[in-house]
Amino acid sequence: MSEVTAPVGAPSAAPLGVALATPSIGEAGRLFARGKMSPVELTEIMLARIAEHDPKLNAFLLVTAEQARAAARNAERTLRAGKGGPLTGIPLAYKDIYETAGVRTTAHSRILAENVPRRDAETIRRLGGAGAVMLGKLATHEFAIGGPAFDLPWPPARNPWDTKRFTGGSSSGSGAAIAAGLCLGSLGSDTGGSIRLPAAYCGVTGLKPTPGLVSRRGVIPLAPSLDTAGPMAWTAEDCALLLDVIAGYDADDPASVAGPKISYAQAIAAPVKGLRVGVLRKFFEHDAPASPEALQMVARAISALKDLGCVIEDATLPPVQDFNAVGRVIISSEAYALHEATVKTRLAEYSRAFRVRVLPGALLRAADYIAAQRRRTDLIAATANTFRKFDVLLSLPTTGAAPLLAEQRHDDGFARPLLTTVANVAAVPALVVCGGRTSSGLPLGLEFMGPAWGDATLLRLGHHFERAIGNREIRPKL
Amino acid sequence: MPVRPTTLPPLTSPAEMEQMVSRAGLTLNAGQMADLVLAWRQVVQLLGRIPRNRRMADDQAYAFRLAAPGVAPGVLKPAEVAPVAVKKPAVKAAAAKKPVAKKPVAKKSAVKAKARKVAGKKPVGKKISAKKVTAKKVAARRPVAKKQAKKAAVRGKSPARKMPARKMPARKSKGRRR
Repeated sequence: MSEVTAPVGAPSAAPLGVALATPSIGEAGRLFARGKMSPVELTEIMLARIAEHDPKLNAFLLVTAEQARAAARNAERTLRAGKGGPLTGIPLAYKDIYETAGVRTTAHSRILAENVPRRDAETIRRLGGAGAVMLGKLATHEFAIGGPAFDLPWPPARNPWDTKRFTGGSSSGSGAAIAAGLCLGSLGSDTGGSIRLPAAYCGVTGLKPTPGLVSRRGVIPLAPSLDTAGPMAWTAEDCALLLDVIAGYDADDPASVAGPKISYAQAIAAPVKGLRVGVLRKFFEHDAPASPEALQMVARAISALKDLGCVIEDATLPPVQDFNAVGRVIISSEAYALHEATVKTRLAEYSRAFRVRVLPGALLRAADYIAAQRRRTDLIAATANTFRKFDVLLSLPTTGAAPLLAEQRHDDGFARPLLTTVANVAAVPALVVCGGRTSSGLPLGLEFMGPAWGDATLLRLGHHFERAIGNREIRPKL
Repeated sequence: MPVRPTTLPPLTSPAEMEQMVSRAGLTLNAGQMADLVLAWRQVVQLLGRIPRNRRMADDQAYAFRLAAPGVAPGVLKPAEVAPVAVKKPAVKAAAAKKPVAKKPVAKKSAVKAKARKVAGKKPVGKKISAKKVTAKKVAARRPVAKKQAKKAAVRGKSPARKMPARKMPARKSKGRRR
């Protein structure tokens, strides 16, 4: 493993007003509509910021500058013609497991270092059709599981709030790039928490949608029975704008389902008064005890939700460890099955972190895997039963703020239970928003889980919560 | 349903570990083996939390669920639909319009059926729409096509596949099927 040599930044913050260079997607759309900014200007600002700050953050694996400029010019023409939608001219970047036609897609691995797909993933195709501008491809953990790793051709992404710290993963580049204002939004993938962990550690918003709502066609899989693709952005409103475009039935994804036909961006405006919010206190007080600062943040969040008119009560689910055991056995089994042929011929080319996390799948038996799937049905039923009483369940995605990169262990996913895996195993949507910050300025995430197809409710609650807390004004100082 | 986890399984011995790795077809160096041993110990702990003592007639998590007959996947309704007005972005709206384009095809066949009625010809055979009669079935019924199919079978492909299904009603009217 190579040494950490990048410059160290102290956790600090600068008001967003310092530079209108980093508006949210919603703000950028409004600026375009008023003629205060153009897609070409915004794209140039983003490219300049990437050139200046990404060498410290390693969020980008590939910057497609010329392609982005051409797309921005097209978007500008579309807007001048009075056409286009909320994402026309919006600069986005994608986790490097999303296939992009003619643009290298590596999954942050030597194995796919030369992989240039012929067509776009379905979600990328939809965003391109909506006029979004692709700035480039973002760092991930190798094949969305093996990381952070220092024995790969590209270094791991670093947290913009403190570059000594971990971004969370596996959508690590997405979390870092959005927080640092190097792009306005991204697509991540979530099998055990890969959208929500970087959202929590980097202080951005990330949605793991209901399984089947967003097509995974063209997204390099990790564990197909748990994989979901979803949006990441600075605010819940931005995630809703992205979801409006990427959600929808796709015959090429066998798990795709025709979800609710609604506008998520419009739905966020409805009031949240009367929503029944269950607090999964046992999760973060007993099963995976949270830090005192995280617990204080939860208390403040509950108070804010009460002020918004939500009805708060404690809720219970089976222990986090039960969800984690099922999730880990399924992920290891399915990931090994996907990689078996390559592992047997090119094992040394994978990172050590990948080998530690995936090789146990070679030793798991069919009976183990099926036992895990059967237990999953119990856990899905138990969760669905709890949602008879609640509209939303509140929990934490992590036990505290971002840890140091140097403290990361390769067997972390096995040794410590991940609070986020609950939503993957239970097949429900979950949203992570920034709930507050520690005394040293690091972001602390808060998680809302909803029943299947409750994505709109989560985004609505997240939007109102972000406005009530008012922490979207602060960006990391780079 | 309360399902208690089984007791923790015993730790795997080095010999057992080597046997398992060999059985999996893996060749590992000492460092890779050491990493796997550490990770496997964690996985064994996780396996201990997953219950095995279930009833035989318990649900089958790995069973497939198909859509009901005649129901297109796009028509399936989700469990919960939020009561918000629909306003789709331009791309989605365009995509949603696509299936409507299929309607003229249905109309075309209806017009043909009407023309047949006017001409006083009765439709041949069962009331099966032209779409449902596969090219393969028709090829099997036609003597010339049978020969072609046999030749193609030798070559490993079916020429019947190339026949457009839309032309079927026209051939029926010539009575060649009899």
